[in-house]
Amino acid sequence: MNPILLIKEFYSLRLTFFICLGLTVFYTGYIFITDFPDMQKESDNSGAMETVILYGMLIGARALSQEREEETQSFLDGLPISRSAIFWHKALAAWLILAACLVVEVVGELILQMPSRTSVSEVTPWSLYPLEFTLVMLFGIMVIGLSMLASFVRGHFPLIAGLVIWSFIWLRSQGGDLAAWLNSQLFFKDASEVTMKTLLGHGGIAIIALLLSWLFFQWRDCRVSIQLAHFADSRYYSWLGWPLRCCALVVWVFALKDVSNEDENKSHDAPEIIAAGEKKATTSKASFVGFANHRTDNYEVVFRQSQREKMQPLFSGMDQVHEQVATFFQHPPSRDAPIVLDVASIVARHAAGQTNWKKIRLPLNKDVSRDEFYSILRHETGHVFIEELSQGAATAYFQHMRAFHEGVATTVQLSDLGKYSAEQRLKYERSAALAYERGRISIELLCDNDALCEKRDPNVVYPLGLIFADALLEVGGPELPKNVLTNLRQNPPTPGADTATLWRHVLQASGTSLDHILSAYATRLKALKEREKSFIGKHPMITSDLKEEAEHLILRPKRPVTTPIDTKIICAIENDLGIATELQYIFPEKDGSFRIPLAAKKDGKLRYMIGWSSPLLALPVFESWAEW
Amino acid sequence: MIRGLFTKELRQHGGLFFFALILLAIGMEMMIRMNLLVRSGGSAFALMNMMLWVLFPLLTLILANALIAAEFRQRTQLFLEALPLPRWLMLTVKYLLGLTMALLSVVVLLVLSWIVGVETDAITRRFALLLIIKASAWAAFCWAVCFSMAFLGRYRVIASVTLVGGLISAQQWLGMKVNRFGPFELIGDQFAYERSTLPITELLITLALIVVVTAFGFMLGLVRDATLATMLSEKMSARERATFIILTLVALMMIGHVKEQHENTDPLSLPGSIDIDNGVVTISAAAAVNEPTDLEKAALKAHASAADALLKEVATYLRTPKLPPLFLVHRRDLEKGEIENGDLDSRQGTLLRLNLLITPTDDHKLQTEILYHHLGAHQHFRKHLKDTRWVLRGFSAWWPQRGRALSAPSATLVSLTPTGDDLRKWLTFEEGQDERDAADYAAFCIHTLSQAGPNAQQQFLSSALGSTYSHDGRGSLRDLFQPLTQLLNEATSWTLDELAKRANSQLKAKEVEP
Repeated sequence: MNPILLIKEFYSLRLTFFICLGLTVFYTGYIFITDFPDMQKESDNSGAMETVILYGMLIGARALSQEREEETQSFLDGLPISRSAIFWHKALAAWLILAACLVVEVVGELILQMPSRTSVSEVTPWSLYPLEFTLVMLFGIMVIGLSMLASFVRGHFPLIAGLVIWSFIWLRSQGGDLAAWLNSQLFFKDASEVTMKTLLGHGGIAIIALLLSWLFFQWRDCRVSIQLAHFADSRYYSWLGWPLRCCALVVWVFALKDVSNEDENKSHDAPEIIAAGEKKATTSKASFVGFANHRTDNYEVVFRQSQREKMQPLFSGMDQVHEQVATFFQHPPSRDAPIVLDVASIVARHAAGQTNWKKIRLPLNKDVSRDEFYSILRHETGHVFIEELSQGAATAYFQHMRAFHEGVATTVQLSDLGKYSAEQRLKYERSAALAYERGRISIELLCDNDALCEKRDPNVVYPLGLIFADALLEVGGPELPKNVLTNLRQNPPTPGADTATLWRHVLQASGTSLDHILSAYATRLKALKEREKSFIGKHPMITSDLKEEAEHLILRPKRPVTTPIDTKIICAIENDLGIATELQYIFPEKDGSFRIPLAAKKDGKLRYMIGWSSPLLALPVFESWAEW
Repeated sequence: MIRGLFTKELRQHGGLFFFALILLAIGMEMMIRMNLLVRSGGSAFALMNMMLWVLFPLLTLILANALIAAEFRQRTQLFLEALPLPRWLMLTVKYLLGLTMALLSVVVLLVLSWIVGVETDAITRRFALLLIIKASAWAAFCWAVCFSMAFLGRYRVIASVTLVGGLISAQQWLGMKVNRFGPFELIGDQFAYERSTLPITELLITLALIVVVTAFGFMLGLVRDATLATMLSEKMSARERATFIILTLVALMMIGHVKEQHENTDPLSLPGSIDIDNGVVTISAAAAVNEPTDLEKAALKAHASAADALLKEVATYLRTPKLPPLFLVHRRDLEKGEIENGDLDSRQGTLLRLNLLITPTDDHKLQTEILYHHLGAHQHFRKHLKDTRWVLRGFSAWWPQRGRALSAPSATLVSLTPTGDDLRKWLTFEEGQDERDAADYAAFCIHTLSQAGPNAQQQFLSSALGSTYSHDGRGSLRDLFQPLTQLLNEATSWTLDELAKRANSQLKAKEVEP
């Protein structure tokens, strides 16, 4: 080993180290002047993989190419050192710099973590640190190797790096053995779960990438680079240069798309169909038969010609629906701006309708009754009014406003005094009582969408939102929803306010208080639980046995002695679509068990929940999320 | 000659223009194929909206880089300057070419969206016109900004990052409605769905901004015979780069500090509350019902007065000049002994929910809870969340009983012999015990301090619980250099082990005399 050469390489790669050091110092300093540094939460290692990829790419991209860019390669060639020696010194320096960056990161973390520890903090696994560090370094060496290889293409490094990452994701999505070979997450989550396959997969890629880089670097005086440089100097390249660079962006977008489409082929039928064990309906692509429009006073309806017969009798009652919603919100309708009602487009899975500003999508199901159609239309029109009254603020604060949005819209939906609405209200109230029985959901939790989705079924916002909206109306009168929305727009809460703070602020501005609402909400739910005592008794908490079998997790619910008629047990898992998650229902087997594919695991965890589905309930009611 | 200039630019950057259009089309096509986006957006124009937000500014940036920045960086503008044409005309040609490209890109996006959405978006003439106007104004704005930024040469990246970062921070941290301002509102959430209202104000603001920003760009490009733009286009030296990075980091830290110090936590006010302000602390008691009964009103008054007296006395004892506000909320649905914490920000104060009607004003549990949560909030929960919690726990349990015999400890507690180490690792100790036992033991410890003399006891408690903390690293440093053990030693000359030993002997005696 030549120490001088190594020091020279350290010097040339110092920038990445200083970036890492600078960021760590900045973060620590920032915490010091804005918060108590000795009261920081324990790190959950999230983002560690991305950090290693970033540093690895920064180091690998510069390690070989820098000499070429700065034209110092010929100087090195003049020294009595072989190209191989130069390459391996560069590689060693790159690894050591990455190790130094990781050490800096760990030290930075410890500076904040150590004083923040209390006697109940988990014991620091010091003995595991060397093993974890080695595994992370192995991953880092692989990234550096691939980056060194990609750096031969000079300015197109982002494009090639994007292609490599995309391929990596794609190969992993193929499942089976490939997923096991390429499961990099394991290096960062739990060292004990790393398998020999994973080690060999990453080690193999690292060795191949390094050997290829070595070969390219020394083969006929780096002929690969010279050829690429010649190409870069050609007029064709100057024409293609920018466009090819821009391709990197496209590749990255494709990579993300690949993630989102990973689970596209999985089943997404309605829970009732699945629970009944019915086969998924095979939908042939509808033949294109053209579209048509119909204008009422308040709606502009877009529908397929084939839906005309079904739609025709529904036009007449639409304006009455609008009138009902306007009366609820005490807000006169604006006739010159009709709401677009699109009954021909798709909506999110399991949704009956969807609203964006003044456009409602309400796919016309062939079985939908007149009452049901108007009921959903009232609900969606409620959303339009909420958005209009808040001028989009309700969506801007969606994280805290979802329960209000859905709750008030459901109240509007059931505001019709007909028999259908009365029956629906009863179902919603039963669902609310049953959900509340399965664990108290305070308003603070109900209105914090992320926290709610973490603990419970996200759809619980419909029945419990209804109770929340009822509490609002009881405390503040019929004008409170409108006041809340107006105040949210005119007097927005402090940026970054948490759920309780936001609601306290908005309700205070509307002339009431969060505590008034909390009180009314709790009282209503108590009364509902009392009223539905016997119904709740017939739908006890469901527990289940779990067993791993080949590529599936077998979930066998323990049925109560007597299952009410028409009531079914259903199962749902969290389906990660990359940019969002959604509920995915699982078909029950003939014996009533559920086969959950282990490929649905995310970060080594599988989240599932089981619950009751019944025609007496507005929505299926699930137990809390369980993890495996 | 002008035609020649246009031809030159087109020859030089034609490939890039063409590719930009292809890229936009591919991006749009990809979005259309993303089922999740289509389902959530519900309109082809929503996808176009995303493109306008994300990809379009990038494309104008690349365009400006090729047309302006690269020209100055590579000094090729010198050839142009040799031509018998005024400099402003050259810049105008570049500006118009870029603007045309930006508008052409909008047309491509609109056409693609129209093809996809023509059947389901009920496209009327007015709606189409609105989309064209809004998208074109946004395109012109993006181009004007990128055009001007390109003249900043080596500072253009810094300026762009500062601008974008500043706008995002203003939106996220300062609560400024940046997304509702002028050009951003034009392509806001309602872009794809608003069918009737022409945003005249936003359009006028956007137009004004375009004029101002374009004028700024021309000024940069023309001032001192374009030498400023030429100078700015030179590469940044290593020292200059380092200075900039350091300045940026320091500025970010300062902004964070100022923001944290000025964080606006709404002062809380409860409707129909009974408020008492004694100069040290404000007490608000309110009923969480619209029309409280007379009995409830009387209970509110009684509880507010009792809490006022309690906190005033405690503040005097702890020598603390000011305590945060306390809010007591009457809830009919809560049972006796059920007290909920409202989890306010420590700077807002403490909010406790309970049934005031059935809770006596001198209830031991109520007083303990008030002191525990309120003194905790006073020190931003520093004692709450750390192993020093025993002081807070002990004081709040001891204070309501001071001057009389402490309640007899449970048999479990008597059988224990906690040590100084248990006090040092209080959270672990507390976890292993019944909550009441742990609180009782802590109260015994506080009571035991009186053996060192009432003054020593008061000195320790006031230094531990009465002091006010600033909400940053200074608070941590203070606890680091003046740990609780040192405060105890200074006041009583005892160690934690000695305190535990003495408390244990008191505990064994079971009956504790005042």
